[in-house]
Amino acid sequence: MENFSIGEREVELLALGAAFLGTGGGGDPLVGKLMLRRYMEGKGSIEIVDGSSGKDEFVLGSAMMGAPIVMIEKVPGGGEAVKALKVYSQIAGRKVDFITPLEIGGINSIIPLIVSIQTGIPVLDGDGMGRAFPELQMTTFYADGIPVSPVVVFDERGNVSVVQGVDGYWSEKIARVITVRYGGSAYIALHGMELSEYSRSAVLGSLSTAIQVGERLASKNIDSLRDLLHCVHLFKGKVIEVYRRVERGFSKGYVVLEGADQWKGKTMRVDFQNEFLIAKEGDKIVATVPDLISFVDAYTLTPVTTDRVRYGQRLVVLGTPSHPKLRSTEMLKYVSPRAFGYDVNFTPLGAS
Amino acid sequence: MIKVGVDVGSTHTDAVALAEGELLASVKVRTTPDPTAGIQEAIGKLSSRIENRDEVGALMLGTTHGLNAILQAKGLARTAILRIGLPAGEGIPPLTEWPARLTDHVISAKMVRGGHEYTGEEIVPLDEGAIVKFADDIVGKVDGVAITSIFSTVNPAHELRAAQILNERGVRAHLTLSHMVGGLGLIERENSTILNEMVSPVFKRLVSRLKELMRSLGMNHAKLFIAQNDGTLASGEFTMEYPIFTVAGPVSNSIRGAHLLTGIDNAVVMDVGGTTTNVGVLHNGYPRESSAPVEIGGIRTNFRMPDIHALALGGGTIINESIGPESVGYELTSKGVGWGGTVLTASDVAMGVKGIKIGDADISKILLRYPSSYLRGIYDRMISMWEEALDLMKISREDVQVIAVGGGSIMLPPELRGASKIVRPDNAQFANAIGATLNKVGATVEKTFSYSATSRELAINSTVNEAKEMAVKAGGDPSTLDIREIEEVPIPYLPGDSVKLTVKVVGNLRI
Repeated sequence: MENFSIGEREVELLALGAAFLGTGGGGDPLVGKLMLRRYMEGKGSIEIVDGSSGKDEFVLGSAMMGAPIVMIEKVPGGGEAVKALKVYSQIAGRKVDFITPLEIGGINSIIPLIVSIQTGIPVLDGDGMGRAFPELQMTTFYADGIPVSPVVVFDERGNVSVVQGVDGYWSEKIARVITVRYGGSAYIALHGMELSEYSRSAVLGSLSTAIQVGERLASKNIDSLRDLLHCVHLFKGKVIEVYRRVERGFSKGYVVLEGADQWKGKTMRVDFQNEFLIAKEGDKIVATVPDLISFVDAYTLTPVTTDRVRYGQRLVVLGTPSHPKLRSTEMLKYVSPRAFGYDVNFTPLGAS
Repeated sequence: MIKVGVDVGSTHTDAVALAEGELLASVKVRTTPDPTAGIQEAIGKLSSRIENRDEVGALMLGTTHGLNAILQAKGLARTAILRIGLPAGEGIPPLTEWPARLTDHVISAKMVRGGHEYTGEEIVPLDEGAIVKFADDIVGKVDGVAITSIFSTVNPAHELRAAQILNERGVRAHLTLSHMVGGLGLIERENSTILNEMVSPVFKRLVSRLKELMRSLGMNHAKLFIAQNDGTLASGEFTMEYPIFTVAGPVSNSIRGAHLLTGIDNAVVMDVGGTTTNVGVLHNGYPRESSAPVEIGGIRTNFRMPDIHALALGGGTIINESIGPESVGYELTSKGVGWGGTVLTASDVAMGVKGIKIGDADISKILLRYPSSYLRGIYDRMISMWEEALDLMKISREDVQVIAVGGGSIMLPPELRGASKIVRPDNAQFANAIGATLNKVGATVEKTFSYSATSRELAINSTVNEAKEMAVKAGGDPSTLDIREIEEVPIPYLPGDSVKLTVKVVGNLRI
């Protein structure tokens, strides 16, 4: 891997690729893209840095927390994430050398770039999930023992809260309550670490991978996408049922597809909780979280999010093997189907 | 009572007169660059064929005026923009990524402190002083003001107060408040609110000219209605206030027309025109809506539009190596082989294969130049294209009824894979204008609620009432209003059973 810089075109491709790797979550990236394009005007490009080696430099995670639907209405003031970073830097008494995304998917692959263009601090080519998950403790960083806290939670008014949870679950729970009290969306800085720790723990190369995924989707080349991600063509068909409900703040439900082409006569059910989690063909489980289950439109290859799935759509379901780090025993404690409340074991893609 | 329906299409403007569903008269004229001239010509010609013009109770129009005005940036209002929501929202100021041809019409765009949370609480108190200053800056300089406040669909208080201040400071311009335009998503709602203000003068002129025309033609008792994006109609007065709801009005006319002509509630409608076949879905008597965001002239808005798949295959489609996408359009009757021209078109192929005659064409001219096996091969490919489009729009595995409308619908084969049967109503070529006369009014309201703070029953009732008020404003008869759809989408990452609630009501117009 090497350093590179990205301009407007790559931002567009990144958003597209991140929507695929976001496996149905993350919401509409419009707000993030508009903000980023605006801040990029006249400033050229954003520097993306290989994070695979280094030591005495300080890395900080940057993200949005809360409900994407709130963010599309209560659009950010623009400086929140930067201010959160500055407060963190003060508390930690460290200069921030690099910013990292926590996840690749939806708005949170864009926020670190917005911070970077405003501060000039480069972004590392990596993240803590290699995809998107809904909670703070679901990162490779946390599984590797790097503390989530302190978490600096900032809002557009300038309210600052610093959460020092005893573990990742508590940090998540408390930061979530603060976010709700702020009005449903907040901007956070967290997971400060040395670059040497980052190099060891992160899913490296995920930003550049997302851009390449975007490129292949944009050129409607599903074969080259398969070559890139080693993904499996799980199903093709038409949505015949969508069921949704809210449980513990998560949009839960399932989608049933009726097969076309080589899957004619078969059905597939995919369960989701913000993201697609478990895919079953008939009674047989064919893919589960943390492997990636993505829906794309059968004609345009546009990724389809859980909130946009509807009756009658023609979709292709693709399964992408997750990064080996997500399949470790420690990480599976946080991201296996059981961590999401399903009585199902992780079934690695290609194992059955 | 007689109803007059008018549809402005890309090539033709059609007008029909109907009495109790019977077609009395029909007229087809060329669409003019300023569509008003074509509409006037069509109505004028039509009216000469109506004896009792006094019995005309309604003039119903589907038109592209709004869309044209936005695309050409002509006749637009001098507009001022007020956004309430600072310190939030500054990341994306009003007019971000708008084209210069439209922003040239903006006199002032200002952001002030205020706005609400999804719960209805204030983000910060409204900065009234800043609004006073804004008012004093624009007074006498603008035709319209677009006011948008964060979460105004949950709590419109700051938009209402801002309107009051503008009024107190002597701003006499037309106002659009975004909570009346509706929909979640600040940027999209604000964009729609600004566009509404910009095209407002275009509709004021159109409505007054049409009323004048109706008077001069002796249609003394006719009320004016204009087709809305969602497949319903609204009164001329309502359209002057909210013209933005009409931008996609004509798109769904063919679907409504198919419903009116056949009485069928659920079917796929194939509208075969000169350049395209527009495939839409008739769902319980209304056009099915698309869930994708809609861009108008490159600007993202929050309207839901009919779900239409446009296939580049119509009567004038040019056949060479490939089938289309180019079309000879309205020059079919001079350029088509059957009419003595040199361009092989989809109409020529269909005539040659099916042995049918379109207009004054001569089939022998086609068969003389092209072997029938060649024509058959092309026609089979056309059938596959239609079948694929039908399959794309169908909503279940069962075969569906297909209603064929439009001037080119005669080209369709007797059977299509996926169609249980193909219904071909009489007067199918006037389906669009007939569709404009569907006597329906509707309104949609979208809000957020926390069901742990507001009971679900109360939330739904208050939203239904709001939608009904809006429908009455649009010209609806209150006693006929009914709920057509209640959609509850859970909002992830918020507590207390938070939902996005969308209610749609429909009913009949007061005519």
